[in-house]
Amino acid sequence: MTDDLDTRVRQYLDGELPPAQEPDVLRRIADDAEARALLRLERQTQAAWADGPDVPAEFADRTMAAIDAAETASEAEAAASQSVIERVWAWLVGPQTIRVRPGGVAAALVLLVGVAVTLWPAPRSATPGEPGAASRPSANASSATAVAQEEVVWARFLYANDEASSVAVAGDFSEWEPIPLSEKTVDGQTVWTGMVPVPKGEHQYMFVIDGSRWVTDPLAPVQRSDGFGNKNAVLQL
Amino acid sequence: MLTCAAGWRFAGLAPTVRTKANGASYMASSDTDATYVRRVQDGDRAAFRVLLDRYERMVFSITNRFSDTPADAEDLAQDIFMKAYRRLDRLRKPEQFASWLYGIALNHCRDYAKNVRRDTHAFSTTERVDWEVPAEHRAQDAALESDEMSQQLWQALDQLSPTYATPFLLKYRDGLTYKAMADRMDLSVSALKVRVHRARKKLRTLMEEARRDPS
Repeated sequence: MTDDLDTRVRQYLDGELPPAQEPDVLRRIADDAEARALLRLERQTQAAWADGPDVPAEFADRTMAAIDAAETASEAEAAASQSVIERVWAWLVGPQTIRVRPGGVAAALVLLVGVAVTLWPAPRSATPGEPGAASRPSANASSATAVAQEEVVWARFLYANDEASSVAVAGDFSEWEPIPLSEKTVDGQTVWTGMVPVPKGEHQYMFVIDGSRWVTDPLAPVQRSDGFGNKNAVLQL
Repeated sequence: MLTCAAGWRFAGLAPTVRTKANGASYMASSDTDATYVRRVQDGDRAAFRVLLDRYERMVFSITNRFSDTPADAEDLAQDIFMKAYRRLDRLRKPEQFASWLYGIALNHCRDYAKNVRRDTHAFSTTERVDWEVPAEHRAQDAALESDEMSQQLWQALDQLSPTYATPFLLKYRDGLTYKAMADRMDLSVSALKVRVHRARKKLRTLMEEARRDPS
């Protein structure tokens, strides 16, 4: 199809072709397979999509109410935890140097998980694997030690990814069933986070992106082959 | 990453959002999408209602295809708008709201479909079923043909970038005029016509390829 005919076809389909030119353009369309196919597509599209989608009455009202409820809860939660968070964050981003000896990696990881457990704001709603309100650590819990004294440690998993539509964590502690993480926005960055009960000891895990892509935690200090060509991250609690 | 990456600021964890105290309605306004996106980004939660009203039909066009019941379609649509609201702070080009929302909706529905397929019998909508349609059921035959055409169209549309798929969908599915689209999307009418025509040509090619190779 020539550029000129392509333009004429577009004008015809968009209803902007002067009526006097229509017979000539229709003749040219009849002689050109691509132009005919475009005309056929136009008619089929109009027939197939003659009826637009039905939108339930008051859908917009219900959705705005849901947004209001979620935002109100989020604001209250942020206000409750912000002061503690700011203190710890100042410590986390402060000019400190942490030297980790090979033998100290496990201990450092325990501390890191413990800090996350203690200070990250609790999720609004419990998802599979999330702690319920009764067992959720308080934002004011004093240290990681209290958490570590339990037989089961609530570990906070974090994964930063702006592109994913969903992120889950799966490990031997969940019999490799993915546990969905919740989406948060931190300084414009999407962070997937969730608390998972993990028995004390050594565990292996991976993150599951968009329900299908299994990735190794890139920052896990210890990784171990799974025997099938992938590497699991190792968590020691 | 099982760590707290440096550079995050917890103060940004939950954006503070103000609602309009006087509950002013935006329903009759004809400002561009970008205007309302910026208002929401500045803390005016109620401005999101305009965007919701404008694009609920587009989103339902997508969710209806991925769900078996109207209730599921509504749940999906609500999830999509809530996700869009939460992510609106990150929309760097507010004038591209429509195609951005289209992308969110399609990805959300694809994820939903993946999860549903895990628990249900897999049946591809593209599977061809050969059967004889009795003569007295010609009307049903025509309806099936229309359905099949619609499915082929959707499958081809899914392969287009949101930049081209969105105006095509708004024109043919929602029945918007080029002028109405231009006013919303802050684009010229001629630019939209070019996008829709490119979409037509690409769709034609994709549908032809799909017919040649149904696998």
